Amino acid sequence: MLRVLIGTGVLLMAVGFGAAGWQYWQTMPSPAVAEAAAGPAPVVPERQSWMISPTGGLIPQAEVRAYLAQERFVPERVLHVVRQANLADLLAEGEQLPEPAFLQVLADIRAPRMADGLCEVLLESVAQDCAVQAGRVVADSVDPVTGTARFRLELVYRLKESGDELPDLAAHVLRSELVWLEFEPGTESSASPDAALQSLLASVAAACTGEGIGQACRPTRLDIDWAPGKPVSARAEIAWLDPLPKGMFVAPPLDPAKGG
Amino acid sequence: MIRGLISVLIVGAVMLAGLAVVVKGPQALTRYLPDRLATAIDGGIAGNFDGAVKGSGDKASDYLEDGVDGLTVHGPIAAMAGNRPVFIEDVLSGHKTQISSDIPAEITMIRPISGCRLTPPLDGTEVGHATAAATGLALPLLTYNDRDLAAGVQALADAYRDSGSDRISVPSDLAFEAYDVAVTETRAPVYLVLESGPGNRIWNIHLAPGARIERVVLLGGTHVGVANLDPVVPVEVLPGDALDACGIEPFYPLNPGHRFFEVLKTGQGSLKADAEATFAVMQDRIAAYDTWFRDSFGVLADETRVGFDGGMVSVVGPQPGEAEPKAIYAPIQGSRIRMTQDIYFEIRGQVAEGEDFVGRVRAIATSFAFGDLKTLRQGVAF
Repeated sequence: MLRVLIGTGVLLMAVGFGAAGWQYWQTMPSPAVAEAAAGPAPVVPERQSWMISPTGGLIPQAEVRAYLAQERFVPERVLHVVRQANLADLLAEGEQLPEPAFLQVLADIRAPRMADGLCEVLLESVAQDCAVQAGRVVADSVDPVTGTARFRLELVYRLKESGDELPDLAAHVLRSELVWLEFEPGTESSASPDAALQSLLASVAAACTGEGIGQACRPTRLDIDWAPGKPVSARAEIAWLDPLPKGMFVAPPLDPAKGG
Repeated sequence: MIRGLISVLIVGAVMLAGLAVVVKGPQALTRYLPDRLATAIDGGIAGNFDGAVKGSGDKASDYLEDGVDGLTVHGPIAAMAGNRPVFIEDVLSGHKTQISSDIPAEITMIRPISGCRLTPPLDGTEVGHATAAATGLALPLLTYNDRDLAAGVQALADAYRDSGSDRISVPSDLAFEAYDVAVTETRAPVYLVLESGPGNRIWNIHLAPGARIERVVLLGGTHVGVANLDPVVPVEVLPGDALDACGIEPFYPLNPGHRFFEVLKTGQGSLKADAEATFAVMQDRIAAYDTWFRDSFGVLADETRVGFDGGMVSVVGPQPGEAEPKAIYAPIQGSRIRMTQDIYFEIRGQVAEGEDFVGRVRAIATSFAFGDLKTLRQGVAF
């Protein structure tokens, strides 16, 4: 009898814990989805994880990552695009726009489509790899009358290897500068977000070879705000290495860098 | 041997009950409990064990709290004229709160009136005026529109992006909540004005023997309806958005314990001045609503209002004595309901596969995601 009692108890416990476990498992992301999102594990080379500014201060780790960590995507090396688009561009062939109540969520779900072409532009010029990190519709930007919406896109990228080794980082400082551009309506550069990005990257390349720019000049962050028939605003942050100023000596930080 | 078997059965029953609570929630148990106990559990009130109950719990007033958020009910009490608390069992026999699976027998869709003018009461009728806040007594009746579906699709997309979860939950505000009105007035026909705030509401009418209803007016709410009403009794509806459009704003004096009066009493400087200005505005709004109410129904809203900020039963008429009969509870199950509805209406568990809210949301989301919800996931691993 005792065995039956214990057996029943164990069985019921198994059912109870099984139900709890099943509920927990149900809330876990699907392995296939998680795997797809994760992608292959990056190879992280050993390197100096700190850099200093021309004034001798420690560069924030986010900026160091954006400049140095080219073996993997990092959230700080990013292309931000805010653009307007026709909702009809979100549709598949033969598809019709839904009722107005659904336009916002349709635009949000299909927003990553608006990034099509941007990665190609990056890959053709400076990027070794590129991926859409996020694509969302701007809240309340859907205009059912004109059939348009504004989208906020975020793409991350890795730069092509230049073939040149980086110099001794301990003997250099990291400097950065912003490149601001505005393309007037009607110009070739304002024709589309892709064209604006092409022009921005060309300006970055020119800026990196400009006077006063040191070694290993790289774009870190790119921003474009595009709408048809309006001036296009574009901005790039470039960073490069300069030799240590005379009289400056570097003592590496004793503490591990935060977030490195 | 027999004792051992009984032990096994007891252990098994306890474990299965626990499992049922885990999987289906407290409703799995309360539906099998006596109504009084189930009412206490459902309302989170638990009678004398609730710390909010004052005194011994013998008097109905022990269960009413004049709190900072309003007049809140902590037990099985109903509101009577003058918002006097009374035990539900003293005015309504057979009251039950286990209605989450009650299915009406007949549902008739009605529409709000056009314009702002309601049919006034006839001479010689009593005007009963009940107000309802949220009761938590959800019915298995839902109504929604494309905006609700779009919000559901957006919630699914957000959840899937965050966690990969494709679970869809039905927003609680799509369901109709029930509110009970016990009519004990038998001396004259009753003109019922039933008023609620935002949300979907079914007013369940329970009559004492001999009580007669002349007309029912449903004020406020998103979608509203009335159950267990004689089909010949006219029903007029002026929902919340129509009240807004007509420039009518229901407004009542705050209870003495409301936090506003604390600020009014102890606030200093500009805070006190602001509170005094707000108080003056509130008085104007109360007076404006009273005026409209008197012009429409011949009585003042504030004076006739029966209903606590929290509570589930209002009584229209006197408290029955030992000789007079109480109102008799009329269940939603098998009842006739007249109600307004949105584009979509469903009775839980009685809808074809894929035709319910969850099915519709999933179908729309899948279609927007080009047939594969996995495309909703965004981002790379850093």
